[in-house]
Amino acid sequence: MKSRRPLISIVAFFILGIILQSYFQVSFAVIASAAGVILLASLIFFKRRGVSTIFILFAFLFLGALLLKNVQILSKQDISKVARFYKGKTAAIEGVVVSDIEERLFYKTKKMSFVFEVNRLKTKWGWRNKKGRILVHVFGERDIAYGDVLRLEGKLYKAFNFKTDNRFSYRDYLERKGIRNILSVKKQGLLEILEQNKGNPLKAFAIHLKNRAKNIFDENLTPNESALMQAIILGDRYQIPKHIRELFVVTGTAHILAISGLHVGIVAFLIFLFLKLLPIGQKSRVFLTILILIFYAFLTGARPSVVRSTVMATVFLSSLLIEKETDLINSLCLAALLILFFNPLTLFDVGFQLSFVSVFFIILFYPPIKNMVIQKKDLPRFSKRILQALSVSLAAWLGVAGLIAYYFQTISPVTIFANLFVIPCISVVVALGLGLLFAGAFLPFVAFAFAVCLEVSLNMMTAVVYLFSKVPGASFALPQIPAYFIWAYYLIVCAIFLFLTRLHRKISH
Amino acid sequence: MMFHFTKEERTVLISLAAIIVVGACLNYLFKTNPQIKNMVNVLESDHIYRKIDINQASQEDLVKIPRIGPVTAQRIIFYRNEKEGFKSLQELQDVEGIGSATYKTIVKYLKISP
Repeated sequence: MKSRRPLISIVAFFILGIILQSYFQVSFAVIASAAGVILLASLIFFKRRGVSTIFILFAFLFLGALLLKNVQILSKQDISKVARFYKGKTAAIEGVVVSDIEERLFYKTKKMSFVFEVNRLKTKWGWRNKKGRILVHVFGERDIAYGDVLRLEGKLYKAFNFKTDNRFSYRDYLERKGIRNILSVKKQGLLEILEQNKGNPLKAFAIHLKNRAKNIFDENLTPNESALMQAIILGDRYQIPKHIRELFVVTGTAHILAISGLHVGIVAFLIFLFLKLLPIGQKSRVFLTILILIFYAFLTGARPSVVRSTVMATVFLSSLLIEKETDLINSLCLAALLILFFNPLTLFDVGFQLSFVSVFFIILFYPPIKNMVIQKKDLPRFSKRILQALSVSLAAWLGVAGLIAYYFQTISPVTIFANLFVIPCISVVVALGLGLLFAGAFLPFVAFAFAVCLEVSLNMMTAVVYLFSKVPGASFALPQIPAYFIWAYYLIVCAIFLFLTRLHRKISH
Repeated sequence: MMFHFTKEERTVLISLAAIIVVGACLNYLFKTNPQIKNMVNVLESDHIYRKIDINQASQEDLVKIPRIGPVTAQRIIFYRNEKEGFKSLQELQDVEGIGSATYKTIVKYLKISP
């Protein structure tokens, strides 16, 4: 029976609404009125299926526009409305630390960065209540943590755009997170802790667990190994040295440094396996696995790729509970809707686009590519597995090649083969990494065994990536490509693909 | 029923035992043969730096290296043109703006091709 996929059209119209609003910037009143009228029309014509459906789809188009506008509207008290008056001057601000503290080496000192929820700003008329989030950089070592209420003094400024071509606007990247200004506090700058533990208790607990995990990695691994594991298991990539990150970028395997479907799948498998050892029923097992996966997504920062994988895993696991088959495309669309409902600006995030396009291409293109590649049915099992893995790699590569060419001006043909080696390695690395965390916390006398096995796996994987990066023609730099070229690329790929699929079907018959 | 293990329990027990055995053997090997540990430790070695030829690198290539900005990159290219190429990487310390700390950082990313 063919699966119904109602969410595809809903998501398509919702995304179209976000895109149109980002270009035309229609006023809130117009969008809200139009959305209201169309919703009303969909109710009036409810009994006429076709007409009602069209109105529902357009309602979601206006809903996308409305949610985007809603995110872009700033409160009158938002700090970004007065930040320009402090250009070049010192600003005194009070607020709460609402993120984990990122510590980086900055020349001979440390730089600590965190997101700060503003409460008050000192003006020439005294302290005034203000709202909004800013990014704070503090130079030097200070003892601050999530949930601390601070009084800070520093230079307040708008984020710079690091690249003039606006492909990667740091300012837009921060704006998508609701941050429009940065406060830079010098080493001797004022930083006073007024209160502590004023953050969300669940988030405080998650950050505490994350820091405990980081300590276990730091205690058992070398600095670069620990940095990689913090990225792969905890989602913190900022510690990875540039030269190591570059290896993975050049070979098109940087996706393994971000928590995505593969990682979540392995985590889900291990949790489920562990829970099977306990005397609890199947439904409780499934329910607990879903809860733990949601907490894991929350702990690792709820990035689009993690949320996508968690939603899809949750839908799949729920289907075990209700004994109903799931459709992958529907799950993918549901994940996209949930992420975009929460923050429509995520649509323009490179990570979001790469994550969803790669999975979409794997779902659609892997079965026909596999059928074209595996012609003989009596192939040895090992050869079949290799060809299947190649097919997945090719499907994903076709999906992301256009976006990578546009955003990073590079193309890596070696990716298709590099992934054949790297993906099995990362499965082992994730399993051993989770094992090390468990052993480090509860069985410290066997932690050394996990650490040394992990050390060998991680270094072996890096050596393989390094070797692939040395292959002549591993990656090519491209000139800047206009956006319409990318649309044309995807249209051509889909057209060629449909043609080859039909041709293959004719030949098989 | 104390000897009856389910499939999942057997999987977990075998995996745990295998990791401990392999881990213990590797640990022993690394402690008795530190040179093997050094060979395995690719992540901490300088070998995996993608080195660019200092005599061929463009300004765009040079600014990708940590501690080299547009001004330092220009100075390197100017020095290279003046001296008709670097004969050794140590000559980088003669370039204005490159002290010993910066040199230590950038030298890992550079090479001189024959």
